[in-house]
Amino acid sequence: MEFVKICAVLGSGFAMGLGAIGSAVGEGMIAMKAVQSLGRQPSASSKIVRIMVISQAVTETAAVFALVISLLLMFKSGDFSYIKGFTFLAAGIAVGFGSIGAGLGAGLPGSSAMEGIGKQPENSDVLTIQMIIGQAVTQTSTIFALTVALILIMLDPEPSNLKVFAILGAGFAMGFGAIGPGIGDGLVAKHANKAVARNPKHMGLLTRTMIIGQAITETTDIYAMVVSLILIFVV
Amino acid sequence: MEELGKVSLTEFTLFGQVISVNLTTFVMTWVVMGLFLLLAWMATRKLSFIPGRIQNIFELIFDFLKDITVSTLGQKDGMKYYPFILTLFLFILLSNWIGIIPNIFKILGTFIAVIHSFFGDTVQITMQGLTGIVATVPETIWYSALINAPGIEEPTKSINTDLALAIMVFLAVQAYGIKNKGVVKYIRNFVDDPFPMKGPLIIFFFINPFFYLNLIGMVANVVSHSFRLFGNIFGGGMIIVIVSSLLNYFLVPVGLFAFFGLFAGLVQAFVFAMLAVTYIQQQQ
Repeated sequence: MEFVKICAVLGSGFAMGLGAIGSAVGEGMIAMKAVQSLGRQPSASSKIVRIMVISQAVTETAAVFALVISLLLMFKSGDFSYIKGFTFLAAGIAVGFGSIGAGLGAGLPGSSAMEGIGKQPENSDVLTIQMIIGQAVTQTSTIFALTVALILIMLDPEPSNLKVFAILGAGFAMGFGAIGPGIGDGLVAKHANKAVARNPKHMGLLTRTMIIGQAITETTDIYAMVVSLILIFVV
Repeated sequence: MEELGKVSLTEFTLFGQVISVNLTTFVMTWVVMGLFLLLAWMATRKLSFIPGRIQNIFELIFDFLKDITVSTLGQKDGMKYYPFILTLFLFILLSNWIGIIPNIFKILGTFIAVIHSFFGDTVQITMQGLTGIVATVPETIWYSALINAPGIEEPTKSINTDLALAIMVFLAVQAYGIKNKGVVKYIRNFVDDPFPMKGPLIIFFFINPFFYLNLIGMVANVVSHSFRLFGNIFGGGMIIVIVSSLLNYFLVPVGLFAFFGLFAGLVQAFVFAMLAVTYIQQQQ
């Protein structure tokens, strides 16, 4: 019992500590570009500030997911067998590492959208929509991490040495697997936003291509999720 | 604090199968739909060329979403799918926002209990910090039911609602794809999307890795679409509960509700609707 609690609080610390990294850097990038744009176009200040807050709120999602798992683990108590402790630890690791990439990635399209609005404030509506779609798709990796973490928290497996390491492995697979796709998706969305800012008429084509590119980029993330689900349920 | 993330399930038996239902979500979904109808009636009751207050708000939302849908999907398909997108947006928005309504029954019951405590010893009032009042009453008093009444919860806080909405969008997207491309082209497109296989080679579709990729991608889309909404609303609600209780319900919850309830709720409803538009656009 004591051991389970120790693992749960350790997992909670992992989740929030690692989960704060990505979103913070991402939001900083957005604010940085917003400030630059304000210097260039002080007359569009209300527009720039409004869109900055929206995109920062969307970027924050990754950290919110980490906070949710962290709080769930922090207040966990009850009569559990020792293996439950490892599932809690793995959940914290999965969502902690898993939110680094998506937080960082969601900051990239936000920053390029702020840059575009600074150059051409009249295109702000089109750019905002494009930015939100790009950011939302970028977050897929952290959503998978959250899903795996919630499954791990609810799981009650048969205790065995193999299962302990399988569960820890599932946490690591999902956590590390989600870093790359988050940043990669963010890069795609960033340059799609730049292209839309330059050429708003072709937004439909650009969005479609962006989503296809992001879907392929996310494949590695899906591999990670499949592997971690196999480790949880089959091994 | 131990009850965090737990849902109250009501179990009943149907045809020998035990079915568990989250009754709160069930009731709240109906409440949201009733509220939806009421608002629609209020907005269209006195339609005029110079819009009134409610009509003005609705026209703003309608025009905004119509512009986006039509500009992405084209005039004909855009107008066909626009009611669907609008309904999704309004339903999710109302569902996310309904959580900010406080538990009126509990407030009323606590108020009665505070007055009652002046006249006798049956009721115990304890203070939590500056503003939190907790009334402990025996089960037999008539207003104990008021104090223990379940609070208002967002239907979108339950994964079942979000998954149902995402599956609905998924089915609409596939229906649009079949209608737009025709059955043969739809299946071909699904089997070998980025790299087309020539002519009769298509019968060996199972060796094409992109077939499996598209298959997994379909499921992944539904999962990410629904869990995005669920994670944000569920997480926001949990942060509000925990931070408020740690700070003894003093002033901070107002800001938390404004950010996680109103602002994040609006953004997530918009994100959900926009992704639905984008998924439909993919099938063009």
